[in-house]
Amino acid sequence: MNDELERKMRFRTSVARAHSQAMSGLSGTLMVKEGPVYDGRAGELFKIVLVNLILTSITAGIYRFWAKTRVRRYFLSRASFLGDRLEYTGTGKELFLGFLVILAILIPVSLIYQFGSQTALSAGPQAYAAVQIGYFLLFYFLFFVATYRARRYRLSRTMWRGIRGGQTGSAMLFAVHGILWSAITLLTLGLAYPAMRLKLQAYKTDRMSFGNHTFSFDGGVGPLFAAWLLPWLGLVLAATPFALLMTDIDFGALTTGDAAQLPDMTGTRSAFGILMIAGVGIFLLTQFWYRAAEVRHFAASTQFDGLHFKSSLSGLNVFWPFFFYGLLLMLLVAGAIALIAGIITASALADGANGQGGEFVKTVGPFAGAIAVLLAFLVAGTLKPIIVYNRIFRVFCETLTLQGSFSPDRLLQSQLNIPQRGEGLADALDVDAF
Amino acid sequence: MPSDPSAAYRGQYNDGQSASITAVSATAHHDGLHIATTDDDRITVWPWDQIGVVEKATSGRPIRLLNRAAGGARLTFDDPAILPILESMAPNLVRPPFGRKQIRTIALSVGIGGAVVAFLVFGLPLIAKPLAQLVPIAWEEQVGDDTIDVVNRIFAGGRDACSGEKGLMVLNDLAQRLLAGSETPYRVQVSVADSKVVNAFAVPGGRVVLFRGLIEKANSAEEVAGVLAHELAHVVHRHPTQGMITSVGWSAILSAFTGGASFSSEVVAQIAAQFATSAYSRDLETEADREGVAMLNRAGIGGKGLIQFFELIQELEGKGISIPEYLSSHPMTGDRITAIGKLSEPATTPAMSETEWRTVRNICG
Repeated sequence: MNDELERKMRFRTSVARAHSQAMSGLSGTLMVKEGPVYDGRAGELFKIVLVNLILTSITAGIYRFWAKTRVRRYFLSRASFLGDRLEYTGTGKELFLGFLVILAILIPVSLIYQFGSQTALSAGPQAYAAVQIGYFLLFYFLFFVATYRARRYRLSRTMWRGIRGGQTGSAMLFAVHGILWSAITLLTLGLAYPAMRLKLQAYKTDRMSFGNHTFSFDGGVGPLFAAWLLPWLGLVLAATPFALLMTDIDFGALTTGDAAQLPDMTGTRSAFGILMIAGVGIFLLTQFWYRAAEVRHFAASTQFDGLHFKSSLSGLNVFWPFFFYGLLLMLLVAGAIALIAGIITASALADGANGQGGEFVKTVGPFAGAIAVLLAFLVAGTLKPIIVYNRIFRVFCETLTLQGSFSPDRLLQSQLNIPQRGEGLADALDVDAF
Repeated sequence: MPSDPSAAYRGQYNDGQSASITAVSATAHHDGLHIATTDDDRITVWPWDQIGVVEKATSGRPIRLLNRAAGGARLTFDDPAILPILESMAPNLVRPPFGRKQIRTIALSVGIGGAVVAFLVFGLPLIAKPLAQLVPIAWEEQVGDDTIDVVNRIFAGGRDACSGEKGLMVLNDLAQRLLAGSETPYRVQVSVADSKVVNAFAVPGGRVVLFRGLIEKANSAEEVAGVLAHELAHVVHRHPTQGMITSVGWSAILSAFTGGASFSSEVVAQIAAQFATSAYSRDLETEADREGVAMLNRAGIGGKGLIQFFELIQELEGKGISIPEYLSSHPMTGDRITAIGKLSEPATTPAMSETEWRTVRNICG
């Protein structure tokens, strides 16, 4: 009950504030030191997610545009700043139309690729490899374009006090930056990764606006390198065995089948296995702390008019939601496998008497198992907005503070063009989940 | 009217031009909601038919209104007392009026959807035939061999194709005899899958697969020759390649539409593609029947064996023995048997000798 009262009070603050301001004749510049408030509830979100799942399944996926819209609308409508709620004004129709346009472009591209790679196949392995690499690079490029364009769409559909956000800058140029920085990251064996993240973030932030004001980004990469050290070491540890194997094996001996020339690998193999598992484990665990450091550093480097951002997000804040999600996924998959194994064993025992069914079990078993595991993933994926996004968004809001001076009268409506259609490319490339 | 028409409701106004907030009082009039400052300075009038809610009114949440003609302007009330009067006066409170824009959107969606469906149903089969001529034979052979590997894995429990050399030679000689007088770019190869399923099919690259079950169930060499001729007719007309093109087209478009990301929709797309491609393979079956009988006639074998085999299938089906694979794309109707009967000429030479027939029957050892 107390909770409910507090909720109501919070909603009332804005209008009440407006009236008390009007009474006191106070207006102009405010000194601000507060963060966004998020009061979304897992129960409300679950209802939306469940309806979305059902409608998306029976419409063979077409409903997903409206489903995404409903989830985004929910998240933003539960977040408020200075007593006023955010608003998502995008529609499912816009996403659907954006998708249709992209479909018209991507289908011919993929058909050309199909025929190109078949022709190249008969022309020789080099030609085939060239086509494959070209196709991969094209889609890697489009991935960046899609991310940027999706951002432009979403910001233009985000409102606060009736004012829109926006994103200028060229998606193509952003993609060029993305490709170049990826190349640098690759050449430095991953060490330059934080620099890539920072540069891309700076590109986006410097061109991001809300109303008539533009955000600005000012920060060096130094603090991020320290946080990247452990995940990077994990990656190096996991990759080392591959590199060693590539250099150590005499490929001539492998092709001639001369076993005597092959090194005795049994001991090394298990050592390599341990090394790889340890490396992957270190990376998976420490990357949450890196992500949190990134959020803190990016926030501290960002400014909007007179407002500075500050985040105190911790690694644990990010870790727990993903940990629970991973745990749920593992339990579901283990349960599905156990169930199928049980059914197969039972039917094999029952059929054993007349010698039938052995083949049936052999052919149907793996198939049923695959379906059960996929279903486990489907259930977990459906719950992801509740377990992961809801918590992450809440803790992100709780740990974020905006501090400085803010003049509502000087924050005017954005004059940027509003994109008419939404993020078709991002949907086609499955850039993100919602 | 449910509430006092002269009541003033305390709210907050954003003009959509700046982020400043104005404390206002709103009063209901016949022409719309009058919005004024608390000092009674009139700001604006929102006509009733332009007023909508930003989100569905829920208890405990503020009521936020938008003006469909005024962009970002918003009017927020903490007190739900204004809700009844809005519900009775504002006709488009929940959703925008159904107008020309909505009709255009619907027409556009239906048009695009129709064009896609029309392309799949009518366009694809039309372009599949000329496209099939463009596919390089070497590549087709690769795909054909891969397909046969998959078939052996699924139907023959991973066992290799049957290796009875003499039997395979007899079947391949028979194939060459049947193909005499037809033109084909392929080096035709007949193989036998070690499976008790009654089935036979042609795959890309000029490969024909007979199943052990079909040879065992057949009552004579002429029945096997009939089925072989039918499959060779598919090969001559490059039907497998056409089928491959149409099904790639269907699954590309359907999986793009249903968004490859979600598992359930992927399954729907695959099933739909399967249905769609087997539906129009009937024309191709009729063509293969006609060409197959012509081959049998030219080789002096005649169509009787093929007819007998089709009757056997009908009979097995009647007994409830399922031969799902063969029947799904080969509708075994009486019409079809009659049509073959009309084209068939009497036999002058047997398909193979008694000894040859025995080696074929023992082809899987």
